[in-house]
Amino acid sequence: MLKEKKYQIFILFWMKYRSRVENMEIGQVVSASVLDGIEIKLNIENPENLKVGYPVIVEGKEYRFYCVVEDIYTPKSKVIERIAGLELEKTIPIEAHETPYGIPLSCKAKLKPICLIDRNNNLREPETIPPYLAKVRLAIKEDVEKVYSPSEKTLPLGNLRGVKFEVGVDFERLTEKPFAIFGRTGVGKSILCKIVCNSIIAKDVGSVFIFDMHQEYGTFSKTDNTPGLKYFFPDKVEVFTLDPEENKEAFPFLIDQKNISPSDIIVAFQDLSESMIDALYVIERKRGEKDLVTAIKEADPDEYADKIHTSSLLALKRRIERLKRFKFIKPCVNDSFSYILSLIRTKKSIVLDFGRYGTNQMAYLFIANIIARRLYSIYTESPKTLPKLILFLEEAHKFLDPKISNYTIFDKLARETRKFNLILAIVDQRPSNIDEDVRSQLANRLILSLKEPNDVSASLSGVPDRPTWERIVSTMPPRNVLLIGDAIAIPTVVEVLEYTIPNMKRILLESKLSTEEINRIVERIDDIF
Amino acid sequence: MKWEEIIEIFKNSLEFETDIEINFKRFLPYKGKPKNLIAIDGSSTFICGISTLWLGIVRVCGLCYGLSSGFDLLWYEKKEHMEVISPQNPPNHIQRKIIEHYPSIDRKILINEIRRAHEIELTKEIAKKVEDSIIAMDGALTTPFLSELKDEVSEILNICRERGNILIGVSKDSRTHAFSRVLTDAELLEKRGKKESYAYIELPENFMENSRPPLYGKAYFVKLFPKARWFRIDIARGSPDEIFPQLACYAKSRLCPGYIYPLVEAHKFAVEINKIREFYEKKFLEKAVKEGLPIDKLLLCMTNAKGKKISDFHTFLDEISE
Repeated sequence: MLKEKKYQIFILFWMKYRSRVENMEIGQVVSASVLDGIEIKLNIENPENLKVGYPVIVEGKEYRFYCVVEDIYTPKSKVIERIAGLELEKTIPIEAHETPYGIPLSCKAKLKPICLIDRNNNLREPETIPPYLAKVRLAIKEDVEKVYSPSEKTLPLGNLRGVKFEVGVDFERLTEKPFAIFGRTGVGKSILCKIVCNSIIAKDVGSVFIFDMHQEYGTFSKTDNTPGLKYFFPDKVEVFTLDPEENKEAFPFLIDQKNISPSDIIVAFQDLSESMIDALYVIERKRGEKDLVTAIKEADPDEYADKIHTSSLLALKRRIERLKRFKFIKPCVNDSFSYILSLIRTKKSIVLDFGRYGTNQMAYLFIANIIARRLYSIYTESPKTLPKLILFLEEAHKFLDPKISNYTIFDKLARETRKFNLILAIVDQRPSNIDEDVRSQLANRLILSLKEPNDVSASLSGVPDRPTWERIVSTMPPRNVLLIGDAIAIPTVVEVLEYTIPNMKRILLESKLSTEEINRIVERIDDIF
Repeated sequence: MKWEEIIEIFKNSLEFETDIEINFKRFLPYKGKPKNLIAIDGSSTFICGISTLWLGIVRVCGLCYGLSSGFDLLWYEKKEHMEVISPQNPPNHIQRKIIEHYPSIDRKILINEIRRAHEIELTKEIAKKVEDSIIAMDGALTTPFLSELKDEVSEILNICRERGNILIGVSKDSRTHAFSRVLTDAELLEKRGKKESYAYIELPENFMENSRPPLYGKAYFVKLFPKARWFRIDIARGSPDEIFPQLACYAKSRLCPGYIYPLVEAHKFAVEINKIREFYEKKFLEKAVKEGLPIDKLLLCMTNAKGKKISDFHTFLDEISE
């Protein structure tokens, strides 16, 4: 009896599944190639219902081909060219014509096969093609679940385009190696960055260090009032500020002048000539007990006459006066970096609020370089003894431009530090300005909309089948992100989660229970009820 | 001849050509729901040929459309026939009959007539099945070669009368000169009937009398949509004032305003035979080889869709000329 009932339920479920699947049919395969992808003839009335990046399933005989829509187009038609421009007001529109083949003038779509799902639900490389006229349908949750099986360290970043399904990233894997968030201004880079930072903290896969130029990441964002990292994780996040007059709740951040090195000055000013840079290093070698800034200020042109051209020295002196504007440079026994380091040792995440210096590029370059340099030095001195730290670097191209990267440690950070638990996360809108060697080190990329062809191309350098993804990235709307790398099962376009308090609480705080904890609760379920 | 003389002749001729009294009869598209319309068409293609012996395939189809806010395909039927064609050694009585009348007939006309015979056969089946519908055949309502087909058509007309069906024939292109001018009737009407929106004209009675047989019913030129072309439509039995307003409803497709849309689809469906000829080709080769026919000789006999042998020098010339 029970068996019969189960069978009936199974049949009902199967019928429901089939009818859902049949209703999602969008077309049939008309040509296919392992190298060039799959072309399908669409049988939907309105091509606007399908969008680039949507996941679809091609029903082969042995495999289900999990694909994404790469392009949608109307093939050239002599008929259309003949009737275009005619007065056709009283005529019956094309979509209201039924034929034995569906719509008389159908559109087509190009699909990019991502993986094959075999009968045992194993994923395989797309090494073959489906037969002619194989049916194509939109992917449904059941298909997608097979592709994206989450790990314990997975948290969703957004919804798959065209399917109500939250796609997750394995944050443990993401933070094992350098990664990047690319996207032009106004497409949701900061929100994505916030979700990523929150997820890293929620999953305890590391701490984050973020330079908060626009006061977005603390408790609440000053620009749009959205919650920051401290809002969700008050005990795990500490906020420091360069501007204690404005932000009284945060710890003041002070830098002792003696900790300033030539590279900090070169990176911060960005306009030093070659002879001024030479002068800087000459003074650094001869400064003795003095700090570098004082040594420059007090340098006598006659004393350096044989090594530095007087005009270069005077120009350098004028430039160094700019540091006077930075109130956070003060003589102190132990500057804030030591305290920050002690917090990092206890796995705290750090937000460094720039306050009034937020629009001062020199301040950002100067501070970011000083901190990164000192972190690099400490992490490389005592490898693996410090907890994993993910250093988020916005406007990364300013540090990683081939012209300047020789003077900074950021390219070293990108290349070496994964061995030392210090991981660089690049956030940038101009990937083409970032050194190619650095880009090649990126194990994962979160790419939002980019329009500049050089940037699109650079953001995907080293990715297999780059032209296909280039087309997808350049046509993606804002708030959509292409996830590529080993932290996600397959390259995927997702619509970034809405960054609201309830949404983020649901994702971040629900996930606090580990599988073991859940199992323990399940074991005690009878006692509980 | 001098230029002046040439121009004068052309001028007189052109004036004479259009200097004719034509009484257009006007109508408006039917306001209610028109009768269902079944469009019938056929097409053929060749697979292989050994000297004067050919293997062809014929597809005939009927598509039944109703009209609501769009063209609703209610049902369709298709039939495919394999035919051995041989003008020298006709394999059946139909071909023998045709060749008796036209000894110099070539394979293309022969297969066309066979296609016509299959179309009429399908029309008869459909006429028996439907009622109160319009049955539209592709081409003029004529049976030029076979007396047997005349009997078939007469039977179809009787069935149509019993079941309230209307049989019409629609010509895509017409080269008749019913108005006794150098211009074809279609060309003449394009000039004289340019300003007409929905109108028709019956072809002169003497022309129809001279064409009967093989013509059935009456022949008209009709304009079914403003600014569209004139088409010849033959009506086997019935009033043009009742039929053309209904046909005008089926001629409102944005794809081909002025032409009866279901016939477009019937044509497209019929010519699909060219796309599946490979399937028949493969089947034929499989069967032939299984029966012991030499594959190398067979391959030399394979043709393209138009019946040209792939090994023909002419085919080679066509290919390098493209």
